[in-house]
Amino acid sequence: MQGTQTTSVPPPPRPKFWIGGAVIVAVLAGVILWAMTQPGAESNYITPTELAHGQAQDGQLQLAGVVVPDSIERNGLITTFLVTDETEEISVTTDSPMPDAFKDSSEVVAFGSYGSGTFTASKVLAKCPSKFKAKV
Amino acid sequence: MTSLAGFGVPSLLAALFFAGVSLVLCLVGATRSSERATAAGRRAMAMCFAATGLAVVALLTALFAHDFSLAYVAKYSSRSLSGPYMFGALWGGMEGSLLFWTLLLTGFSTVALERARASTPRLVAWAGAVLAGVACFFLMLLVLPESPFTALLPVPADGTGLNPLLQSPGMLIHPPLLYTGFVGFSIPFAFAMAALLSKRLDASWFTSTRRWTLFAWSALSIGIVLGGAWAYTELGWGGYWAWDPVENASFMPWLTATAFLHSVVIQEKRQMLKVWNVSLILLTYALAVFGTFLTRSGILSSIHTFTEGPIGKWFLPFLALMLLGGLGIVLARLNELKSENRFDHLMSRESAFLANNVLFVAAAFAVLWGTIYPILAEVTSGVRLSVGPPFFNSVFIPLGLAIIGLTGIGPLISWKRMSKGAFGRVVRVPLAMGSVTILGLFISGVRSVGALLAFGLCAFTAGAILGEFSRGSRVYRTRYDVGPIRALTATIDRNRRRYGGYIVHLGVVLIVIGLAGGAFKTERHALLSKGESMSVGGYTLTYRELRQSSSPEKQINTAVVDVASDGHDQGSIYPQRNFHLAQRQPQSEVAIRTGPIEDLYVVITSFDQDGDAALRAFVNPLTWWIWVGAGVMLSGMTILLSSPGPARVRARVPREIREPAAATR
Repeated sequence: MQGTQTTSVPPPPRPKFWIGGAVIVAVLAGVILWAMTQPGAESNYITPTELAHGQAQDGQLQLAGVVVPDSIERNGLITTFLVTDETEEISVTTDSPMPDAFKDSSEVVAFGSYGSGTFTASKVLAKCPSKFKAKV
Repeated sequence: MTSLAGFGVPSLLAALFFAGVSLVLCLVGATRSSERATAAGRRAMAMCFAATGLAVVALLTALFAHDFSLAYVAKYSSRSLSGPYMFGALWGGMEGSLLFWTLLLTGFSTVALERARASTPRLVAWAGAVLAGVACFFLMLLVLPESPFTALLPVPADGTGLNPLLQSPGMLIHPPLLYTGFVGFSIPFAFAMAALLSKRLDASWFTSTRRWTLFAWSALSIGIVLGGAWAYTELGWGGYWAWDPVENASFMPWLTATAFLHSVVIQEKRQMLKVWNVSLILLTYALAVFGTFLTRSGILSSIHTFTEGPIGKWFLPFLALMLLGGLGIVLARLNELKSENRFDHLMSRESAFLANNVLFVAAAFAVLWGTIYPILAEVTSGVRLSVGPPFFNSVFIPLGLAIIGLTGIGPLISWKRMSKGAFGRVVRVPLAMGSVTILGLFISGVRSVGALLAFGLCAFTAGAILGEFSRGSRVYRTRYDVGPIRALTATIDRNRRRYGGYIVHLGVVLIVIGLAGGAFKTERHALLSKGESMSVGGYTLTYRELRQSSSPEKQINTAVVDVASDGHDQGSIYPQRNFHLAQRQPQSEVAIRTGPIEDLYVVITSFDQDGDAALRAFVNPLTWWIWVGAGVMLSGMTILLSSPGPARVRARVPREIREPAAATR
């Protein structure tokens, strides 16, 4: 674009290119900024302790922690379990299918929202405890 | 001990030594213009490759001999692991995959430097130095913090075993292809840096490495698709792409490499965009290394991050050095990198290529933004968050639509400038095809604007590409009086770069059709007792029974599910939910009935003692076309790769000129 060589070709309509380029970049930046505001584009991590101490936020949350052993209960499609960060425990309920790695002591991330003492998850991710060091 | 594991550490030390020797000799060769030093540097690189190969052999024999005195073998394999998956274990963990990376790097470097001796002798010294420098870094990692040959005491009786998810044929091909792609970009990167360092900034650095770029790009493309196919058939959530950070890590260099493949054509034909091209290959390689770093550092939580290691603090300085050094040398050479031509007109092939580049780089930036935004947010404000698929989908639907439309328009526009009338003539038929498609879909009840645009643009672009084929073969037919098939194959054969590229584009169109089909997917999740039915997207699924059996590795639970569609019996499908004994982990085996119109995809998510089973069923329209499109892309890539290189193009001139030229080589 920094062509300085003079040729017999008539001078190109250079401002047009720059204005066009600026418009394109602005549009693309706009698309990225707009996409960041889409529901579910961004979700905050939260720990059981933060939830238990009332630091709950509105909107999409990700509750990260470890599944309390022997806390998993299944009732039809509904799965209920406790998640802990070694300090507080939070009850999670979900009707979503559970991943294969979900079991006692699995490290999990539950996506959903919090209300009246229960975290309602629409999706749960799990890491198998034997393969992953417990680190959140 | 029955294995050659004892050779591991000495081999790695020898490889590091030879990489260091190669670096020094190549630097001497470059700065003193000594061909002898450069030749010795090349041989040192070959020795480095041989030593790395010996280390790989050492690790493989240890894996096959179940030598659990090595921590790596104990962690990633077990006695019950079957033969082929020992290779999977080679790259199943961080240390092994770094070793594999280094093997590819030194191997590719050896071959590329040897071949470049004839085509670009003046770039070899600097390119050798750059490649040896990279090899030194990876070998240092393997010798110091990430040795695959670390001993384990006490020696366990059996290993933990490879994650059952990784015990799938796809996982034997997907990681090596991704690594081949990542590492393959080392070659064009090294020659670009060599061109900058030696101030030989003509087109030779990318024309002589074009096959490497294409090869790396093809491997990365197919590797990414195979990763998607693996996720689709193994993970059981009904999709193939989750915008996982590690998926993104492979996608970013692919996007910038795609931009690079297109923009070097402008430099080749019009001697423009020189700064842009060296920057793009630098960025591509940096993203490839960043991808390796993301995968292996544990900086982002992801299902792919099987190991969390301390190598972040090694990778980041390396990456910073590479980027800053690369950018520094580009800036120092700005004067030599001036364009020799200008953009003549907005309606020109150059502008179309430039628009392609802007879109691909913007796409790469968007992925990068979504991938590192959580890190930035945590570092700057302490907030832990993640960016999810809604962000990426919102960005990629408009960008993807623009790219697919441009894929159709670009090849129709001529270089320098095109009159509106001429453009109108070539665009008429494709435009009609696109409009008819949109109209037809609208009448048949499709109302999603995104889907209408996607299918319309796909029809437009397919029409444009097929038009190119028909124009090309018609010219050939009128000249040589042959049948249409002969004319078509001869047209493709005589201009493999052009038509190979079109075939790749056609594959992309098919893939986009498959992706757009995702807009119409349906999903049901239900708890069924024996004999009960659920319906999903026109199918009625009736759960008959749960069959239980067992093998030495796992307990197998197979559900028998009868499929009926519009009242017609269509046989049964058999999803499984198995319990792997060694890993004490359940794993679902998806039942998929696939076809060009739609896939029926059924998973058991749980079952109880009474035999009641929770079934999750998806109907995924058009997903089949993604894999077909990838196959079409692969055939186009094969044609592109088989196109004559720069040396052979010269050899195609008449024989009387070719003979003496061949004699001097």
